Amino acid sequence: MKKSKGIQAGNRKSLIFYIILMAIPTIQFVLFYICVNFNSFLLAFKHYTTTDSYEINLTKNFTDWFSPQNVELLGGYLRNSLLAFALQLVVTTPLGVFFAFYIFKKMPMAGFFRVMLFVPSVVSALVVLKVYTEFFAGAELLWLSNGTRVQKLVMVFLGNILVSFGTSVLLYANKMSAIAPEVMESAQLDGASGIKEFIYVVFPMIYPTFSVFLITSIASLLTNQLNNFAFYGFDAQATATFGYYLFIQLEKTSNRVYLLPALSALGLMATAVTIPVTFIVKFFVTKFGPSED
Amino acid sequence: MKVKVDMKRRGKLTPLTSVMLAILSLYCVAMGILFVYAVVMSFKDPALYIYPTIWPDEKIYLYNYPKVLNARPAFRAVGKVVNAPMSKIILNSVIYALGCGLVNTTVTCVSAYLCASYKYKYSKIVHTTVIVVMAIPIIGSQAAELSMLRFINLYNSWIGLLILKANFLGMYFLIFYEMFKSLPITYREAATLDGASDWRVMMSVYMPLASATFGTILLMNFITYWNDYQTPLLYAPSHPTLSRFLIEITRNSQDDFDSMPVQLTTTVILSIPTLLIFLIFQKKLMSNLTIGGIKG
Repeated sequence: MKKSKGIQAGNRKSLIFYIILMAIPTIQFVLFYICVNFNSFLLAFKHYTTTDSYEINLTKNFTDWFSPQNVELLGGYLRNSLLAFALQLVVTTPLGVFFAFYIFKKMPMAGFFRVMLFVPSVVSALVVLKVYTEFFAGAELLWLSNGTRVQKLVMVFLGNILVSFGTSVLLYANKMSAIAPEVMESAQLDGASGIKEFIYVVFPMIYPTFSVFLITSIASLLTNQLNNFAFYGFDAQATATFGYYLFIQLEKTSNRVYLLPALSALGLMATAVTIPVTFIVKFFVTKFGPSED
Repeated sequence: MKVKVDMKRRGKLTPLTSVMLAILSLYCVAMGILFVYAVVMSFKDPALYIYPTIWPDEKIYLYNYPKVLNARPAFRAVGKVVNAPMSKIILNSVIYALGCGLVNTTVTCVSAYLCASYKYKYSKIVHTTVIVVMAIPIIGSQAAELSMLRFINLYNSWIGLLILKANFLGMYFLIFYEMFKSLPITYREAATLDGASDWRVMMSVYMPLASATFGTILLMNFITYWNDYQTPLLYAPSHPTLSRFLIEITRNSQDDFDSMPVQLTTTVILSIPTLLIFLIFQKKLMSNLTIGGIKG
C-alpha cells in the first residue's frame, strides 16, 4: 500500500490552512516554553527588598540558598530524594521487570494479575495512599504518625511501591509481548531454561524501555515528591523530598509573589545539575547496554 | 529429533514461579483489602467510630455519602479562605478533566496530523522540538510559569488552565505522528480529486481513522487530570477540584471531615468515575499501555 508522503510545499491554500492550525500550538509553545524558561532567568535575578519592590541582583537569590540553615534544610530533602531514586533503581524497577516476565510467560493467573495490576494506575495514588494511611492508623501501626524518621520512610516507601509496582510490571510485560515469537521459539529449540530465556533473550529486547526508565528516573530525581501529600498533606517533615519542598513553596506564592524569584533560582540550579547528569547517564546506558542482536 | 514449540502454552510452576505467584497474589490481596476497607469504612457511623475495625457494623450507616455531597468545605484561595459547595467542586473536576483532556488531546492530534501530512520545514522543526524538549529535564519552571500567567492576567482562571494544557509536547504527539505517518496517501488523493478542501480531508478522512487512538488518549488524559490535584492547586487555587479537596481535608482539619469514615467516603467518591471508565474501556486502555503511558 502506498504510504503517506505528505503534501508538497507550494500549494497556497494548504499553506494558509497549515499556518492557521499551527498558530495556536506555536503561540502556546513560544509563550509557555520559550518565554517561560527565559523568564526563569529574569525572575532569578530579581531580588525583592520588600514585599512589593525589587532590585536587580545577579547572585543574591542563588547565594541565599547556600546559607547554613538552607543547606541543612535542603540537604535533608536531597537525601530523601536520593533514597527515593535508589528505591526505584534497586526495588521497583527490578521487581517490575522480574514480575513482567511472569505475566509474559503466561504463568497461572497471569490474565487476572494483568487486570489487578492496572487498577492502581487508574485510581489516584492519592486515594490509594490515603486509604493505606488510614488502614495502618486503624490497625494501630502508628509509624506514619508517631514513628522515627526511618520508620516513617519505610512506610512511605512501602506505600510508593504499592502504587507504582503494577504500572511498572505492565509496562515491561507489554514491551515483552512485542518480542517476535520466532525469537522465543529459537531460544526454546536451543534448550534455554526460563532464566536463560530471561537473561539472554527477553532482557536485551526490553533494554531500550529499561534504559528510558532509568534515564527518566534520573531526570525526575529532583521533582519526585514521593507522594508525600497523600501521607502528610502540607506538613511532611522527615520524609519530604526536594520536589515536595519546591512544590510546597510554590503553592505559598498564591498571595506572596515575592517568593517566586528565589524559587526560580533554586529551580535553575537544580536544572543545571540534572541536565548534565541525565545526559551522562544516557550516554553510558546507551553505550554499555546489552545488544538486541 | 523434532522439538515441538508451543508459544501459546502456559508456563509451568517451579519453586521460583510459585514464590512469584504468591507475591503477586499477596499484592492483589493487599490492594483488594485497601479498597474493601475504604468502602466498608464509608458505611460506618463517624459518631460511633472509636476503635477502627474492618468488619462492617451491624447497622449500615448511609449518611456519609449525603454528608460529603452536601458539604461546603473551606479552601485556601488567593489570600483568603472560601467555602465551595460540593456540587461546584465536582463540576470543577469535570470541567478540568474533560476540558483540559479534550484541549490537550485535540491540539496534540491536530499538530501531529499537520506535521505528518505537510512536508514543510516547520513540520520537521516541530517534530524535532518535541523530541528535544522531552530529553531536557527542566525543574522548577513553574515559578516562571506562574509569573507569566499573572502577567497575561490568566492566573487563577479556567481559561489559563486550558491554555496551559493546549500544547503539543509529550509522548502522545509522537504516538499520533507515527499513526498518521502510517496512513496511506491514496485516501487524500481520492478526496482531493473529488474537490475536498484541506479541512474536509482532515475532518472527514483522517480524523475518523484516528478516532480509536484519539479516544484512548482522551481517556488516559481524563484519568490523569481527574486525579491531578497539583495543577489546580498551583494555577487555579480559587477553583477547587475533588482531588484537591482530599488534600485540603488534612490541611484545614475541618470539623465536618475530621473523621476517618467521612474522609474515606471522599476517596470512594473520587475513585468512582475512573473505576467506571476502567470497567467500561478496560480492554482498550490495557492494550494500549506501553512505554510513556500508551501506544497508538
